[in-house]
Amino acid sequence: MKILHLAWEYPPYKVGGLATHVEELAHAQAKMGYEPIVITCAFEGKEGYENVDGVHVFRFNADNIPAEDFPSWALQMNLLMQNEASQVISEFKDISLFHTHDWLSATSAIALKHIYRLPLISTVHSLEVGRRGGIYDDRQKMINDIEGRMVYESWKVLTCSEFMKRSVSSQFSVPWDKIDVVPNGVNAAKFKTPENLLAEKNRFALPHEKIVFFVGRHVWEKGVDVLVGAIPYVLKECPDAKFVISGKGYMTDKCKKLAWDFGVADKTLFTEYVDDNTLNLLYHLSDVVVCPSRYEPFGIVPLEAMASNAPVVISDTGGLNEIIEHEKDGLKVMTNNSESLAWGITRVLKDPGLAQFMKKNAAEKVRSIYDWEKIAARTCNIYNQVISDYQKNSWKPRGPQAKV
Amino acid sequence: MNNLDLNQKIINNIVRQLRINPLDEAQRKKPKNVLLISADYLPKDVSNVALQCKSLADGLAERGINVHVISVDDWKAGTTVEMGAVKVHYVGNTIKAYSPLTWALTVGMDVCRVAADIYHNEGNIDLIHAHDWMMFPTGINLQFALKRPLIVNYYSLQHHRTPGVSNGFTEAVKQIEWRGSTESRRILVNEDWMKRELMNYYSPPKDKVNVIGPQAEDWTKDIVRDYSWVLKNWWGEEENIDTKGGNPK
Repeated sequence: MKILHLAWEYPPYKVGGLATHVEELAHAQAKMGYEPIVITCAFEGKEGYENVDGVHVFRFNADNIPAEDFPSWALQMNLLMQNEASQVISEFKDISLFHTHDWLSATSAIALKHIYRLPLISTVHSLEVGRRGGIYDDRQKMINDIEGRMVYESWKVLTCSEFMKRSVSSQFSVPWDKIDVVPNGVNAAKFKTPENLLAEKNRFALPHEKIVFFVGRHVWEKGVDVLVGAIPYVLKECPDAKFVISGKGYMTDKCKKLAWDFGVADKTLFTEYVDDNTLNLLYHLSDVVVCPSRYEPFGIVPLEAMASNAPVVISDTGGLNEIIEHEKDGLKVMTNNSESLAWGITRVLKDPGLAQFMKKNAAEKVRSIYDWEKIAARTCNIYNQVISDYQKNSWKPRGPQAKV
Repeated sequence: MNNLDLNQKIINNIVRQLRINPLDEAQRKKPKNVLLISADYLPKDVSNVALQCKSLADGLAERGINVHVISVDDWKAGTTVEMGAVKVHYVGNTIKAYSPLTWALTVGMDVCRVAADIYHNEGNIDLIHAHDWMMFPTGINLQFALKRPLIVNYYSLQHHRTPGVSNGFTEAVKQIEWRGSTESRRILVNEDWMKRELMNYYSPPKDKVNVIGPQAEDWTKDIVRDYSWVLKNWWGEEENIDTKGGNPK
C-alpha cells in the first residue's frame, strides 16, 4: 500500500515534534511493508529526492516565497506542495490514500483528495485555539477555519491523546467515532547513553551541580517563563541546581531578562537550538527534565526523557497527564504555577530513591506502549479500515482520470 | 537505481504522460470542453473581468463548445446555474480569509473540488482558462493534476495596481502573476500595451502572448483558434515555442 504523507517539516528541517513524528511513522510503516511517500519543504536549496530505508522523500524548494506573514506563506507553500504531489502521483500511480499532518499542509491535501478522489486522513497535532489560548485575530480565525475544514474533509481524524480528541470534537463538532487516538511514539534506540558523559558535563554545569533541563520552543504554551519563575524557589532548597534551557522563540529574551531580574542568571544556561547528539547528552546528564507546558496536545519531550532514563516533572495539562502516572513514572504539578513546579523539581532532586523508582517504571512504559512499530501498526489498521470503507463507496475517480 | 536515475525516470514518465493522449485524433485538435475559472462573473459583479468572461463563455457556447464556468458567490455556493448553454458552477469560500491573497489561496480548494467533479462526473476537460491572478494558482494546480493545458488572461498587473509599492502582499501577487506567465501554455491580453507591459515585467516569450480583446469583431473565433493551437502544442504536434522563461522583476 502506498501512502502519500504531506508534511511541511521533515528532518533534517525540524521546528516542532511534527517532523520527528512523520519520520518515525514513515520508517516504521516501511518496515511493515508499506510504501510511504513524503512530500515536504526544502530550504537552502536542498530540494530533490531521496530514498531512506524504503521511505520516498520528495523535497520541493520552499525558499524565497514572498508573503504577507507566516499563514500566507504556508498557503503559497501548499500550492507548490500540491504541484509536487501531482508529479509524484504520476510516477507512483496506485496511491491508496493521503495523510496530512496539521493545517500547514491541509489546503493542498483537500484539493488532492478531490482531484484524485482518494481518501484523506489527517493527524491533528495541535489546534490554533490551544496554541494561542483562544481565537482572537483574523489570522487565527483563518487557521482555525482551515483546521475545521481539514477535519471535515478527512475520512478519519487521528489525534495523539484523548485530550486532543475531546478538543477537536468540541471545537469543530466532529462525530466522536470519526476520531481515533494514536499516541506519539519514541525511538528508544536513539537515546542510548553517550560516551564520556561526566566529562561532557563541564559544557553545561559544574561537577557537583544537578541539572534541571528544559527543551522546547520558547513560546507561551510551553511555559518556559513558568520554569524561570520557579528557579528562585528551587535554589532556596537546592542551591546546587543548574537550569539548562534549550530551544528558542519569541519569549527567549523575556526569559533571559526574568532570570537576570530574579538574580539567578548565573544558575541558568540558555543554549538555543541543540543538535540531536547534544540533546541526547543533556537528557542523560539531567537530574530532572521538566515540561511545564500550559497547552500540550501530547508532549514528546517527557517520552524522550523517559527513554533516556531521566526523571520527569510535568504540568498536569492536555495530553501530558495521559502519559504520566503521578509518583509512579513522573511527577505532576499544577499548570501555570511556578511554586508548584518548584515543589516537583525539589522533590525529585532531594529524593534519589523516588527518582530511581520513577525512572525504572518510565523506561518500562516507553518499551511497552510508546514503541513506534506498535504506533505504526495502529495507524495502519486505521488505513486498512478506511481503504475497506472506500472500496465499498461509489465516490471514486471516473472518466479520463481513472485511465491516467 | 540511484537518485539521479530515479529523478530522470520520473521526468520521462511525466513527459510521456503529458504526451500520451487517450482521445482520438480529431478530438485532440479542437476544444470540445472548456473550463473557465474566474472570481468574477455576471451577474454578481460588473467588473471588466466578469463582463469579458460572460461574453467569452457565451461566444464559445455559440460555437458549439461545451463551456463550464466556475465562479465565486457565497450566496449561490454549491449551485449550478445554466445560463443558456453555459453551465456556471458557484463556489463559496468557507475559510475566513483576512486578505485578497489568502482569500485567493483558500478559495482554490473549492474551485479544485468543483473542477474535479466536472472532470469525473461530466466527462473530459480539454483545457483550463484562468482569468486574472486570483485564479492562476488554482489553474496551475489543475494543469499539473488533470494534465490539461492552462491558458491565462491578464487584465491588469500588480505593478499597475500598486505602483512603487513593495511589501509581502504585492511581492506575493507579483510572484503569482509571474508563475502564471511561465506555467501556462498561452497568455491572452486585451491590448498591445498590456502585452508590452507584461513582457517588460515578467519576460514571457513574445510569441506566447496573444492580444485578443472583446473590442475586436468575432473575437471568440480568434480565441478558439488559439485554443486549438494550444491543444496541438500540448499533445506534441507543434513544438515550436519555449513556454518557459523570464523572471519576476
